[in-house]
Amino acid sequence: MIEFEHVVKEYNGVSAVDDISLELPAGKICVFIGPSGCGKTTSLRLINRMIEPSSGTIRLDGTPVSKIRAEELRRGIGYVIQSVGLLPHMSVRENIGIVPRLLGWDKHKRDTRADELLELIGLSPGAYRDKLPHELSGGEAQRVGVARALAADPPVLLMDEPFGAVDPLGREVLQREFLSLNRELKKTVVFVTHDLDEAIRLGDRIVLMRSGKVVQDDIPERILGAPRNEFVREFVGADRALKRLSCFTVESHMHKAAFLDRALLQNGRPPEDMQVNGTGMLWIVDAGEVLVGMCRRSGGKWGDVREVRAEELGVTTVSSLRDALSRLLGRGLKAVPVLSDDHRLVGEVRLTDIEAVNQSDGYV
Amino acid sequence: MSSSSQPKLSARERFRVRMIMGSADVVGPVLLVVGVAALLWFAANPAQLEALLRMIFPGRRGYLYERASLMTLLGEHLVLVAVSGSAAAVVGISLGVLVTRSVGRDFLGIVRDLSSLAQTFPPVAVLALAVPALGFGFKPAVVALFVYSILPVINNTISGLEAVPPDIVEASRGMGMTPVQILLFTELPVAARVIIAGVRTSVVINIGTATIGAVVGAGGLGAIIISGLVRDNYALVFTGAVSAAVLAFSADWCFARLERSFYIARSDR
Repeated sequence: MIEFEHVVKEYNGVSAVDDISLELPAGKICVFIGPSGCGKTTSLRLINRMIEPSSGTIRLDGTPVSKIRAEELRRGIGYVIQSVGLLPHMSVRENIGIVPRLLGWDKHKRDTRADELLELIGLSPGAYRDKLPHELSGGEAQRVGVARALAADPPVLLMDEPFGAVDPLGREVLQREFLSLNRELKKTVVFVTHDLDEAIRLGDRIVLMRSGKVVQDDIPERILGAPRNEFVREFVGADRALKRLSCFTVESHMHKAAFLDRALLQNGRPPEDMQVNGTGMLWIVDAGEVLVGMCRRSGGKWGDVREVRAEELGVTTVSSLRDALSRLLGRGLKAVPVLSDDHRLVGEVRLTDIEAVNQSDGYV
Repeated sequence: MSSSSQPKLSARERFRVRMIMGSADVVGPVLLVVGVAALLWFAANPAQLEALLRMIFPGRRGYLYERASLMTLLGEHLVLVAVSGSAAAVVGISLGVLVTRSVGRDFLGIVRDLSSLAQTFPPVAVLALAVPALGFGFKPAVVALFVYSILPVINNTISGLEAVPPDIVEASRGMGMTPVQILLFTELPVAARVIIAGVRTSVVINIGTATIGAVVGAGGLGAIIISGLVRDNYALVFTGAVSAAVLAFSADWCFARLERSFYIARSDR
């Protein structure tokens, strides 16, 4: 757990951080967001003592960080910055091994760990370990930056706009990967961004800041659904209803889906006496429960089975309702299939589920 | 550079490959080896040297310097250059590092100005000033050469270190490196190429300038050149000048190779 207690940071009499008190719970992703100059990056850098506070105390699991030698503190906290900052004369493997090397691990242990982490972030160790940073794409470099921060398995990760320099498409991929990565690793993450969508997608908690002060510190649903004042309302924007859908995962709102093994089709159609509830969609799967087709019942009759490509049509359990809505509208369907990572059908999300979300809490 | 075709090589091995590939033009090394071999052979065989000089400058007397052999002069010259050059490299790099640290930053301007000023002094003038303090011989020559060749080292060290991207210094600090570790693991390796280039310039200038050491009796190839000038004996001038040139070319080539083995900053690529 990270605690801020009346933390102030002044530069020449101007407060960059103005009396902040916060408790960031362990194992959660906490996003600092706000307009530029609001003090979000300063707050982040205070945690690993890249900057010293003018007054106030920051505690890491109960110990004031000022009581720990700065270098030692930083070796125990993962740090990822926007420009990545891979050392250009070192290979990917050497870069990942920097903190372990500072901690005195032997070479064999460092190299094994580097390969393990490359595997974890989805880069093949054989192809990547000996590359130099300039041979990597922006997204790859950013992944290596995350791997480097994770090298010594620190409990806390500080990320300062880590995906800011990556193109929007790549950024979404990185966000998704990071989210599922941290589901596994359960690091305490402090994440700085100015991108609200990113904050909503990643944050378990959002701390909205302005001129060095915390304006609202809440779960994403409430930042969007119950903005505390005009500033927050303006910051989250008019499309907050849509944005709010990003707060919910498909997993928590999906239904059981009607499905049929491909082997049971008769003349390419489901048996006529087969009935389904709900939206009238029937998903066709193969012997391994992998989605291969779909069929609609209309006017009491089954239509033709349409072959589909699972990854194009379906969403995954960790997708947001916003993704699901976009698929629904894009395909003109009343339901989309929910798939596991290996494309097995696990359920469906219906248009009515999404409507229900925005109508709950009396929020429209 | 397409390195994807050689995925088996480690980063260091690839640097080595690049070094060897860089010397793929064989003219340089061959000329160098021939030049150095010829120089040493003639130095070891004064009779052959005399025969050669007789061919180039016919109809004179006294083709050889009678006070010392060419081998001795070469040795003296190399010692002069090695002592003053390595002192300039060590002191220059140290000063460059010092004034780019936060504690020494106040001295950055002064050190830059002083080293530029030192370069504007003619070496002979430095010699003239050094002789009263240090007497004749080896010492004042080393001091003059040191003062004269420190500028490129300081300048390149400062430029090299200042060109290290701030984000990688920030990242190094954020990972928990101490200031000394940041200098050793991050700043010096990234700046190494530029720093070595400074040492290269310094040494090459030094080899040429060392010939004036003879004025204060420090020996070296300058002795034979000055003696030749005084006696209007071009064979002697020629021997000294060509020898110094061969030394300078070889040193330049060796440092160029050393330089190439270090990391190349992105802007140079």
